[in-house]
Amino acid sequence: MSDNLWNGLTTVFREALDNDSLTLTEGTTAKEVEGWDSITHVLIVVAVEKKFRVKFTAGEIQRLQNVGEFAALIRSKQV
Amino acid sequence: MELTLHHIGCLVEDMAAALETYAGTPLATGASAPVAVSSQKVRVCFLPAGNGTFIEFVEPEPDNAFLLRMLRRGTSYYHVGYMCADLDKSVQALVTAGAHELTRFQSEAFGGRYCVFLITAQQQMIELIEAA
Repeated sequence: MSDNLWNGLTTVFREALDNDSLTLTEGTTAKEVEGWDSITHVLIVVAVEKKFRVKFTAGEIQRLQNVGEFAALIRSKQV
Repeated sequence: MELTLHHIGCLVEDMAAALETYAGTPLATGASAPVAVSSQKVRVCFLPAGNGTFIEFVEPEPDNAFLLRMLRRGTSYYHVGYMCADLDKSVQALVTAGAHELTRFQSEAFGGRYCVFLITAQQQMIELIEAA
């Protein structure tokens, strides 16, 4: 995974969750991160869409299981 | 999709203190009593702003992490509320335009009618309220 993608994703999560020390791994899930609730999840998705100039469907968003899958989805949209 | 502007939502840390700020001014005249919207973990009240529109003060409950984060960042005005005759049709039109649905709930502030929060592709929050 490119550093640009990972750094951008980390920035979006840190801003959305107001947590400057948040560290993401590919296996990070919502349950492990304080404040990552359903509303924040959608806000993160919209921020990612804007930052990476991609678009997700509701089904794609609901199927995401962890940050690694999210990153892979972004990458697939950028091809 | 016919929408009518109803209110601008404004986050406040303390409802009583916010209302006191406007006491004796035209804005406070006719302010509604605060109402708890339980599913959203907030209390709200409406201050008439002319032409059938309102400023909605929104006070998050202590366990409303999302809105409390916004307050900590200094956010005040944060959403625009519209009345709509056909809620589902209006939601679908905005989703088609790139918005995402955040939450759908029945609001005590509107007699139990359905409301939907959406966020646009440019990260602006919109509340659609089912017209009576």
